[in-house]
Amino acid sequence: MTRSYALIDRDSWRPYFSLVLFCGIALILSIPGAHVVRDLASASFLSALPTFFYAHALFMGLLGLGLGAGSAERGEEGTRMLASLALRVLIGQFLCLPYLIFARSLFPGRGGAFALIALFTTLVSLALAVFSRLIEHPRRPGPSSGFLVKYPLFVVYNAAPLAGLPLLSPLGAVRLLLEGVAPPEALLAFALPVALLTVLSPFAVRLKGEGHA
Amino acid sequence: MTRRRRPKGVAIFLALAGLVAGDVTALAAPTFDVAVGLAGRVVPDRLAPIYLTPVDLPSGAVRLRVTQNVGNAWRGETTMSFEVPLAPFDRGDFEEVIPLYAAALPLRLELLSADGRRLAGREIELRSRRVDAPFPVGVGAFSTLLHDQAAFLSSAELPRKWSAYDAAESVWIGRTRGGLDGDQWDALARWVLSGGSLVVFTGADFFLLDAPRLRDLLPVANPTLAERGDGSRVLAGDLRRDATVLATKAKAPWLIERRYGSGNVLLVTTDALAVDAADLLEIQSHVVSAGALSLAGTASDLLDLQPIDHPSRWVAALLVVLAVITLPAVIRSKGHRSSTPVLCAAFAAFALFSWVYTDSAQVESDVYRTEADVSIEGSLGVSVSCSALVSASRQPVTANVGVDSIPCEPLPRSVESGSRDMAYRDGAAQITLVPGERRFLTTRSDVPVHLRARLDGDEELRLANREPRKIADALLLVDGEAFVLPPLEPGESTIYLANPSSGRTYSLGPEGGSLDRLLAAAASFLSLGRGVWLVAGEITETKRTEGGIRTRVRDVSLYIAEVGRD
Repeated sequence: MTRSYALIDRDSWRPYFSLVLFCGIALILSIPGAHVVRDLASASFLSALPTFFYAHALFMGLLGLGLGAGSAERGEEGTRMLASLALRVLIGQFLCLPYLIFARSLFPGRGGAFALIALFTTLVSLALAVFSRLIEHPRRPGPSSGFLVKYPLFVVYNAAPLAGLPLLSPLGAVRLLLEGVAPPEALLAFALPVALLTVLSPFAVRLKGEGHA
Repeated sequence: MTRRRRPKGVAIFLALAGLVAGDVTALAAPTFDVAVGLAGRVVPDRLAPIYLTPVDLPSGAVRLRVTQNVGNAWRGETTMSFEVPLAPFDRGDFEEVIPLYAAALPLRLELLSADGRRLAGREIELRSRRVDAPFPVGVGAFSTLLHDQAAFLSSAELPRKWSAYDAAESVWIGRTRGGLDGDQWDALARWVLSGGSLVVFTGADFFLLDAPRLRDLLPVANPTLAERGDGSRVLAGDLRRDATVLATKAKAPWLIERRYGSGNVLLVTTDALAVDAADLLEIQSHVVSAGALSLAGTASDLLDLQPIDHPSRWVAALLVVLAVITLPAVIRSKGHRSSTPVLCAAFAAFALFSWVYTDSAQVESDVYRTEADVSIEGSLGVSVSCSALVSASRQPVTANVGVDSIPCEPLPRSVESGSRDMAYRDGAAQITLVPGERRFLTTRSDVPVHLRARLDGDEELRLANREPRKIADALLLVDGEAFVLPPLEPGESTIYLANPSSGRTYSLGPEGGSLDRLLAAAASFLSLGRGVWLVAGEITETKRTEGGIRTRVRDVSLYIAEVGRD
């Protein structure tokens, strides 16, 4: 008999909650407090930045890390594990849909960029979920050592490229996708998560589940 | 050795041949005759006429492009380019008016074909034409030198566009051979209406100059020639209500002044050759320097007041609260199988709510533009406008701004190179807006007369509104006393005046609002405290999307019409 994995349950909802809560706060902060043009100069600097998209990229990444850890804990395995991770990432993206639609009014006329950002953050989240699943595998060192490896790496992945090649950082990539980049640059932004997925997925599929589920 | 030298020799031969061929091509290239400036002079940061003479024009030339480089590496460099269709040369030279920002670098002119191909080009040096301040312009002959700085034109050289007189401090019409044509008088009348200063010598020369528009300008109605006690012929007539006799000779008015719109007309009742140096000094002491209504400061103030579009923070907060409450509530209340569909249904409902709420009214605009427009109307109409623009976008945006005529932009002393570039073509100026930086485009154009009014007695105002719509806010100003009028309906109507509003202060629309501020700016320039004026205004709001750029436009229009009195 094939085991069915719950997509969201009482044990796995917290990463989604963080995503919904912090993206929501970022959305509120993105809206300028100004009423007339005079106030634009003194409007919050957060509203002058794509704050919502930064938060979206960051928390979709964290969701991926959390989902990977949860999957390892439950001992999910094989291609079904991969499919359920993808579905969970999509659910995370779906929970942000009301915000994404709301954010359209802050960046009018950039529908194409929104679609690219949604696809990009989904890929990043899935790649990080697979990475986290590998790191958190029960046969590897305990959860605390997994935590010590993956979160610093996540910070480096987001921050380090900003100094030189921002397209390789999820934060830099969402900003540039929103501002509009040439197709080769957009491809470069997508290259890293796609490469991570392509390389890590076969290893993740071959893992044997030894979790608590 | 010989073999090695041969390629070098061939190369030298080809280079020489190329140089000669290029020279021959340059000699054969079509050229054209062009003149720039009022009487050949230009004042930096003012408008100047540009004339093309239909001699040696290349066939197929249908457009003229004028390019001007302003600034330098230290101050920052800016390129202004203006492209206009070449009107048919059926009335002499082609005339256009362009802003000239600096005289240090030459002006580049190019003639273009219909498909934008460059057919001919030349550069006009401006440095030697530069003068620092507006100057008096004399037209025709005078008995004595008008002024050290005066420039002289023949009547044929007088511009036919009123904005071409921007560099003139005053225009003096002396003895001309054939008088002025109707377009020239109209241009002068419009210029005076907008703040210009005109001195007309008449006397025995009056019938050389006589034209309906001149009669409209003069401080006397029903002009006739009369003989003075000293035997000289002077212009006489019925003094208009707003005319003032400044000087008399042999008991006959000699110098008569009249306000015309926001400008002044000075009538010398003798001809230009009958005045001596002392007379000239007397006339000069009464000449008011021309002024021009500047709306950049007011447009900036009005732009400050323009509402901006964005969705409400409270609605966003409500959405977040709903999402944050719903997620744990559904997870805790449902089993692990049913929680996912319920959650998806709930968030689909929130997404639908977002979709419905964020309609076009809530969407942030990229560019905010306030158009301050003042129409000054007598028997003719002129319009002075200023478009103030600011970008709310997080990145530079390129905006196409529709304008009535070639715009002039006040440039700061230092600019970031390229940030103030402008390309005007076919009624639209293309500019780039850097986030947070404001741009101001001012234009001056002819407009049809929208409002005509006549005051019968003290109580009855007969007016004609030629706008197809109602104008909501209107005032009648009688020597500074304000009468609030009902909305001006399209077509002809009669309004019976009630008591004036209390005190000497008045406002158009809400006090301190956009219309009221624009009126305050115009009133100080036009001296609306004297004479009878009909003042009306309206504000319209539109949203446009061009090239993916959403622009919210607020049009603040003020009509100021001189009112005739019976």
